[in-house]
Amino acid sequence: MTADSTLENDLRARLHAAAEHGAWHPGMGDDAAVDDVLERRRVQRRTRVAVLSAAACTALVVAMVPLLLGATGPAGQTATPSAVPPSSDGVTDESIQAQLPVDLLSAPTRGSLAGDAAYVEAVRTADWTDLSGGFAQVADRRVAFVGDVPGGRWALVVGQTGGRLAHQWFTGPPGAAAGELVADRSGVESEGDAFVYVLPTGSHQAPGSPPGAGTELTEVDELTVVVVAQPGDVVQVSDRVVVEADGAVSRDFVPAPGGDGVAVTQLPGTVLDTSEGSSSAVFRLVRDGTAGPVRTLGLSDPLVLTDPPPLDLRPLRPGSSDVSPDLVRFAAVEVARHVGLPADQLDPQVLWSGPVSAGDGQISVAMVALRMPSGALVVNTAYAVMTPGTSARDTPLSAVGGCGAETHAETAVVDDLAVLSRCSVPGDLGARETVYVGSAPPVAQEMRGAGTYGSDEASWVVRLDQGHGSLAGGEYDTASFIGPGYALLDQPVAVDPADVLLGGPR
Amino acid sequence: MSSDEDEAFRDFVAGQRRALLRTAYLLAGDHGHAEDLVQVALLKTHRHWARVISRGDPTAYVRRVLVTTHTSWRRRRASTEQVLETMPDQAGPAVPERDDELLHALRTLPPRMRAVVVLRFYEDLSEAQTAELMGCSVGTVKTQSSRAMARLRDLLTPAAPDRPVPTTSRKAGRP
Repeated sequence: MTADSTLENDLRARLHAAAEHGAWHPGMGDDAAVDDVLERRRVQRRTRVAVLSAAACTALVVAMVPLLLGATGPAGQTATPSAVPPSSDGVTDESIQAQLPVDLLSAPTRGSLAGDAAYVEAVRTADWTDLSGGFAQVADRRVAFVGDVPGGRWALVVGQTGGRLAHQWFTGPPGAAAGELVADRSGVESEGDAFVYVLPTGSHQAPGSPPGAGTELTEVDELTVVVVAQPGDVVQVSDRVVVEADGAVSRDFVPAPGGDGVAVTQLPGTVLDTSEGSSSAVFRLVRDGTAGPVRTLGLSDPLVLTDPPPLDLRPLRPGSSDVSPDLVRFAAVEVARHVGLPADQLDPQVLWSGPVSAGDGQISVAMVALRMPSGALVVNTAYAVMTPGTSARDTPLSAVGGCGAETHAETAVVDDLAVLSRCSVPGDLGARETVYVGSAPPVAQEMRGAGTYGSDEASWVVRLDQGHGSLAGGEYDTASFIGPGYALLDQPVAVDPADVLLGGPR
Repeated sequence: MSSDEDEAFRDFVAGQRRALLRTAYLLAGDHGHAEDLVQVALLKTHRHWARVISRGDPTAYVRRVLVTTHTSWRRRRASTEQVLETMPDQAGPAVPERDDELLHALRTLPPRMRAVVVLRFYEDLSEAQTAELMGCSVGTVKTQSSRAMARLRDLLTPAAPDRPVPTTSRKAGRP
């Protein structure tokens, strides 16, 4: 039995056992569950009828609003706070707000349409047809944000329900009337102290489309991002990791447009990892001069995601052999996802690739070099466990992993690089085999280093074949590559790309 | 919706809800959110019930809604809540032991990756069936599955030949 099948079988058994535990919870009974669904549906229908009735009165309301409200702020400015509506479930506002991560119930409506009272009221009473953000009675709702955003018009409505803050995002095309905003989207993201919504710019779900309906997401020009936090907060956004020309890694945070605790901005679509919906972009809140934790910005809608095409590249160095284009892509994307650019725009080159012995079997390894916009180089190495009878080229990515990444200054020449990567490969019964894979210019004849092997101090020397060699086991941090007239001393072993590239939480 | 349709919906819930709760528990990671997840999925299904049952068995539809709701449901729980589960101390059938290591490992996976794991290795769906249910390509399922297994390999204690599957009684309770 292979390590993979062992893990899969073990995982199956544990999932079934865990699911059984889940089924033993003394929660709501089946009849109560149905009653709850039917009651919520009745509430939804009543709300829909109320909205339709309100629409019939729109002309009158629009005519009267200026008279009733006096001097309201023009569109684009923050509206005056209104009284927090009383809770319909008997819980006091204070006790609710004390438990809420974001105190939006007493915050003013923000956004470019905040001053349009009729519009705000129509959005506040609009039907909540998606309940993944919870549900609040109309009387308990407030509009936290409503306004024009790049490519459309969005709104965030919040409402108290018990001790929680329910919320619903609405989206619509540019200039949409309140009744044209659609709440069918499932995408909801709340990060504790801010509400976040991220969609491809101009993306709108057609009214009445079934839940879960998505759009094939092969290429995104730009993303629209809205963050709603506490008034007074500054929302800072960083769209990607930057690798400087000298190989140093950093992130630049800049205040996002919007102000007063709201960010309405766009990000280039290239920051999106289309295989997972995550992005290289992050944000943080600055409150009272103190920056909070860094949070990721990922797609809020379950769009259909796609992998980028494989990278079918010939390795540069002699002694290499072709490996799966999927493995090359995997190694490249692990870097590209942090720096927010498609891998194929980073001039990917396969420094070395081929099969390597690992335990009783083999792995296929790809060392991929990517040129950053600054000129710096990032080299990332990945492996895939080979199954008996398949070549490195045909090895599927059934068991794949990273062997570490490293950065080099813009002056570095790919052909001259010496790389030592550490692959932790699954073995039998879940054990791990550590394999070091080294590659240097063919002039290098040996690589050597020192560290520990088990509990013992150990030094080692590996004879290189055309600049390539591997070593099993041990714990080593550096290696030296030596040949006639050639010496690269104490080269650090590559480390996890997430650590190298300061990718932040993902 | 007619009373007959409501009754059919009630029968469907009685027959399938327990299975949905099991899947939802693996997706959500705790009882409370699993129950919420199932309720939302049932509510969404009820909105389109007449159309759903006109196409045949609604189970696949509900399961799809359950998964798509889960994958979009990035709740505030991640940073603000701690799940504390207690079972009543009273006599009753044995309660399966909770596999905290597995649940923690699942929680570290992105929602779509977690869904792939649950569908492939709990529901035992094929890659093609998983892709169809999640509305993505088979290649995406393969990639997500590979990445998930790579991560789980690091997070889960390897199975020993004599390691018992955690189904033994830990504390008395009731279903």
